Amino acid sequence: MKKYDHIRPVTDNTAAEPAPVPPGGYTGVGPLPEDAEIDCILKLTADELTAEVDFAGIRERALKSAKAAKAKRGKLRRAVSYGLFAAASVFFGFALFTVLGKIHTAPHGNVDVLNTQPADTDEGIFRGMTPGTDPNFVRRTTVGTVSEEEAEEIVNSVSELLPDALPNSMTTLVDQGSSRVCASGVDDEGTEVSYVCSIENSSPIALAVGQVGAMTDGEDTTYYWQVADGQFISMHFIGFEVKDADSMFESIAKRITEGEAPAETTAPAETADSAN
Amino acid sequence: MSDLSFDNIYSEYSRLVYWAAYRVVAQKEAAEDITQQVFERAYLNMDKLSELADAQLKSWLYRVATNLALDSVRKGKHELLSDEPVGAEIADTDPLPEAELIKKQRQEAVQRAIQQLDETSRTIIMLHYFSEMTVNEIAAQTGISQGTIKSRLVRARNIIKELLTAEADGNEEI
Repeated sequence: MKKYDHIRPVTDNTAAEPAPVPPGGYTGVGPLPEDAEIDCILKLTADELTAEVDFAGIRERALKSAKAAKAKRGKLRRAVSYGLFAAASVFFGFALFTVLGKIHTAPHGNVDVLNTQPADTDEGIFRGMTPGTDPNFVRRTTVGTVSEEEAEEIVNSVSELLPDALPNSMTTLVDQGSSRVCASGVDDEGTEVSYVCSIENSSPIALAVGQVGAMTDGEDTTYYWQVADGQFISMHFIGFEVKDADSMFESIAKRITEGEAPAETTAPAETADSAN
Repeated sequence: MSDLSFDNIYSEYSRLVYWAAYRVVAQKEAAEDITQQVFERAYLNMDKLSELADAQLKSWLYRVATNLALDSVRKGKHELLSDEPVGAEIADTDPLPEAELIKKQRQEAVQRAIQQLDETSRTIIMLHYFSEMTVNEIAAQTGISQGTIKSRLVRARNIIKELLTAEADGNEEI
């Protein structure tokens, strides 16, 4: 079939020739001949009216509109694909993080992680994570527990929970009534640093007994360690590098779990009673 | 349909689609809009349409055209002018050459006659002569039996002949 062959040309009415006489001879004017074929008149009329329709224009508009719709559909499809990919990435990333966390805190996989860190690691228990960029920058690890008597002794001797490696220039405050010890000052490089250790009965990080949870933004590092049921040691290192905070926490954890006496330290340059 | 392309479909079925839409909306511009929409959909679904047989393709186009036309009327986008003769809006007020005038008069006389038919007969006449559908195809699309369609066609033609004769007689008396 030829293109648009149903679109028959409209009669050129400006021509001198008379209009074609339809089959049956009837022109619509005057009496209908006996032999007029209505069938042919209907076909002729339908063809003439069809010829007046701008099918070429309709085709062009349909194509233009369809191509625009196709392009829009493609954009939408790409946007949905990217969205799904992003959602899947977040989901699998979260799942991976969760699985790694479970492995890390599993009974056979987490035995005193602090003590198993390579000596040359710069990141300690935060290895593989990016300080300050990961909102879930929290690690849990099992350090150990103490007996109820030992826990009570820790509460009563919180002033001893000073890391050996605190800078000598730091001033120490022991808050006798609130089971808290603080130290502040500057380190060897002139950076202001602080240390706060206290005994709490709750933790912002969900922890099992014997477990420690640590979080950092790269400058401030906090540890919560549930040494006994409902007894948490909180250590807050401000301005220290993570590796130093990690090392100091490790030394205190080792001292508590192994019952070692604190090393002779010159760190507390001055001791004051906050009650004063 | 072998050798199927958008152009093939358009050249083959644009008339059917246009008059299928016109039968419902009874407006030239509205029917053109709907024809455009039908072929826009056809273009976007070419991969599926290429798997259809001719009869299925024709049926799909007819159904889409009719549904879009009915939707359009329901939404009031195009007012249904059931009393308006087919093609009446294309009448023009400029003086016409005699041959064109005669043609217009004939067209209008035929259109008026079609409008006076009952709904079923008018639908059958429109589908058969304007959309160029066969009796079988009309039966498939409307659900009316082929025998009824044939008898309705004969009766409708007779009525149109009577109406045209009466109109011609009236003109002659004037």
